Amino acid sequence: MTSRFALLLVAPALCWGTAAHADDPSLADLSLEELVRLDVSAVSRKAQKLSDTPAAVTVLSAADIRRSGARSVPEALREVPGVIVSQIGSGRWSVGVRGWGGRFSNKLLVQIDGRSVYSPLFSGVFWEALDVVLADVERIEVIRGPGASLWGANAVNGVINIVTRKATATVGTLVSADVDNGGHASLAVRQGVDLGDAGALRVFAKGGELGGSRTREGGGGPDYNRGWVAGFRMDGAGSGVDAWTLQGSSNRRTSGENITTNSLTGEQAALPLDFVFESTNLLGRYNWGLAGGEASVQAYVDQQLANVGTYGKGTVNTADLDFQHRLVPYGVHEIMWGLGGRLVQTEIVAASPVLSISPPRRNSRVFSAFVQDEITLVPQTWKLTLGGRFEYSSLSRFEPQPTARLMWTPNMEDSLWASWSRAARTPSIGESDATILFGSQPLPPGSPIPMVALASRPGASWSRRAERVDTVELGYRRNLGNGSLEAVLFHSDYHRLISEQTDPNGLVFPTSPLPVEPFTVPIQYLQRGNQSAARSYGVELGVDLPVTSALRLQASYTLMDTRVRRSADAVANATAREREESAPQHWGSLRMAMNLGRGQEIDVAARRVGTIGTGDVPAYTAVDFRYAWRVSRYFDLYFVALNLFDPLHLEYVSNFFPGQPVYQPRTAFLQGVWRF
Amino acid sequence: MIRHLCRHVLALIIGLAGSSLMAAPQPGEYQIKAAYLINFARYMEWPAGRLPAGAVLRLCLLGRDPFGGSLLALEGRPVQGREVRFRQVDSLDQALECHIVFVSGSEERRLGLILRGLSGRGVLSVSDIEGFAEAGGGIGMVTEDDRVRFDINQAALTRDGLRASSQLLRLGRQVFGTERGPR
Repeated sequence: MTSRFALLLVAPALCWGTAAHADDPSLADLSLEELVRLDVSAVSRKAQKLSDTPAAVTVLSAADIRRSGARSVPEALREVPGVIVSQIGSGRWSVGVRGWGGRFSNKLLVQIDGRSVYSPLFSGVFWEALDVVLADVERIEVIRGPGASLWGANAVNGVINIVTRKATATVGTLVSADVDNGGHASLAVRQGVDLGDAGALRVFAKGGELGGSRTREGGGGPDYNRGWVAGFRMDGAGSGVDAWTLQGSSNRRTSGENITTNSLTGEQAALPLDFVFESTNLLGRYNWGLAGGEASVQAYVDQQLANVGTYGKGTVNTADLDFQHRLVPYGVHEIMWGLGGRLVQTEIVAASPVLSISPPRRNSRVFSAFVQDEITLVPQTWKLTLGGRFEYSSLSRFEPQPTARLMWTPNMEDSLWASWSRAARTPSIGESDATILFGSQPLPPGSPIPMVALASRPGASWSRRAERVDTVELGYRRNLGNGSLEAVLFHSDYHRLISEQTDPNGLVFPTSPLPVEPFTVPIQYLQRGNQSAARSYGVELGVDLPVTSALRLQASYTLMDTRVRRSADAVANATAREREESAPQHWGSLRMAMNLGRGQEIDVAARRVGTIGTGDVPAYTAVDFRYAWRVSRYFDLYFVALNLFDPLHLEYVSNFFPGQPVYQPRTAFLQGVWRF
Repeated sequence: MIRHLCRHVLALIIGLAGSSLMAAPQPGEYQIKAAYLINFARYMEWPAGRLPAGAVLRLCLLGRDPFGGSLLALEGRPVQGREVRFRQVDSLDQALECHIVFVSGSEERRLGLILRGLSGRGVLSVSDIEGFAEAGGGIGMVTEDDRVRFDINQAALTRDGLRASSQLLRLGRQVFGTERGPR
């Protein structure tokens, strides 16, 4: 017995005795040449950079994005706690934060290098039109909870900031090519040039086609997504503290899918619909010293076009100017303030009688001011952050969006924070101005008419207020040496949610024939307004553990529930149920990241997603596998297999355009990345 | 006996995997980064007025400590005939009294402000915040392919009156602000 114990004690000394101890002074005696060649046994996760922030923040580093095997932004977000990512179809995604999934998750703000890609037409992001060269993304910041005090309206449940690398960090050539088992290929090329004292420039272009989804029977062809993006970024020389950036890009993407249509006579048909998206943007930013502090000014123009087959098109022109100033700390106060203005010109041309917009053209203006004070109550231990954004939008009204956050860091390992914040979501142009004929409702047998047509329009007396949320959060973070643990509890109270109700004035006979047979049925209008309210609460957990120097385990889990207020109105109740069930009540993921040595990596990620009621999506488990090999300094090879143990599964059914449900097949792709 | 040994080794592996959940991590990134800081002190020259011969070399940490004691372990070490003194500082004013300031990742949000404050004051700023050297910091540490490397901003050092030895410049991954340019 004793000898066994002795062995247990001695064995580690024999096997691991040569490893340098944490505070071994000999490490500090190594020369620079030796240090440069020394392998790190466990790399800390850069996500901890924002551990000082009293908010639920996850930062995906370039390495995290690479190891996730993602080819698009939504895929990279799959393992972030609180974020539910479901694939609707080829290039089409539902990305919800704390519930509220959907093709246009209207409570989530998404920005690329400070430029909003949130569309004011439908309040949401056209993920199928978004094309980013992921190899040049430096990080993706995901802030859950209201981020309105700093980022402004529509940051109701979260903000996603995609930050690309500075041009000074991307000097050289990069070629990335991938091809999947269906033969769909994409190619990205970037050339970075050092301009000496003027800074650096990179130009890039990317084009390709994504794999399609399957029908329930496994057949192909229900959807597609292809297109290209090209652009540039210039950054000032890295010598000074004043910095400037100029960047721009153009892209075009076409995406096709089948829409399920219900004729008024109750027949269902699949109607192919092709979307064409085009966008161009130009952004400039300058940082300089001002009054001992630091100021930045950013301006951009952006044009987005969306063509929906022959049925209509939308145009959005945006001009945005933003100023921020971080003052030099004054006593215990660290103050930041800013001003912003945005002009948005929108035009929707409805070529189909199913949709009409009034007015078709709108010029909206948003003016905002924010201030934030970070107060150190006890140095290193207690910090209080008070802030607010005061925003006026011509689409709603004046919206104050305050926040208060308290953080306690009793030691180097633990931090505990609590917050209360309020945020607003401006009505979209669609919600505010559109009349949509969207279906029919059969009447009980014996009625004088067999059915009525259903159409949604803004309520006659609707004052078009913004939706409002009040959120309370409690968070805990623990630093586990090279790993971390995070838990966040949240409770959100939504008021003035925009929803539909049956028009009490009853049936209306159309003055002109309806565009669908039998042409003359009466119309029951549903009127939109700030008529609903909801509550949601839940918990988000994230763990990152280095088990050995070559193996890291990462896990995340979210459990939540949303309850939308019920009323006596059947239509309102149906919408309420759909909203409650637009996201699963729980989902989680587990990732094993292994380093095999000699530049080889293996990643295995499994995720479990609960049932999604809207669209009757059953719970599923998916396992993804990635193998990476750094063949040489200049060449990386990746092999990725998605949905390893699953021939087909359904992840989401589009609720905005009623798309035909499509299934995600087992897919594999091979990718090569050359850098020289 | 061999079978017994195998069983022990197995128990050991399981034990290690379990204990690593709680125990201190293996020597890693920040131990190496601490060793780098000492080396930067060896290969850097401060203006005589800023650091007279024989004076102590003040090494400071601004922000939360990711080093877990490895910086404190450098206290009292001799470097080029000077003694290293370590101190954790809370404000920019305190940081200006130091010769080397390591800016912790916790300060990322106020990085611009910190760099402006330290600029031209004879302080070597070092950090592992991404893009630190490019942003105008002195030396930025970068973990790449499981190795810790560093980028140097030569123009920033010159502005601060510091002189890096040719050996330091040669081993840097990228050197900004010289004719050599980033690689």
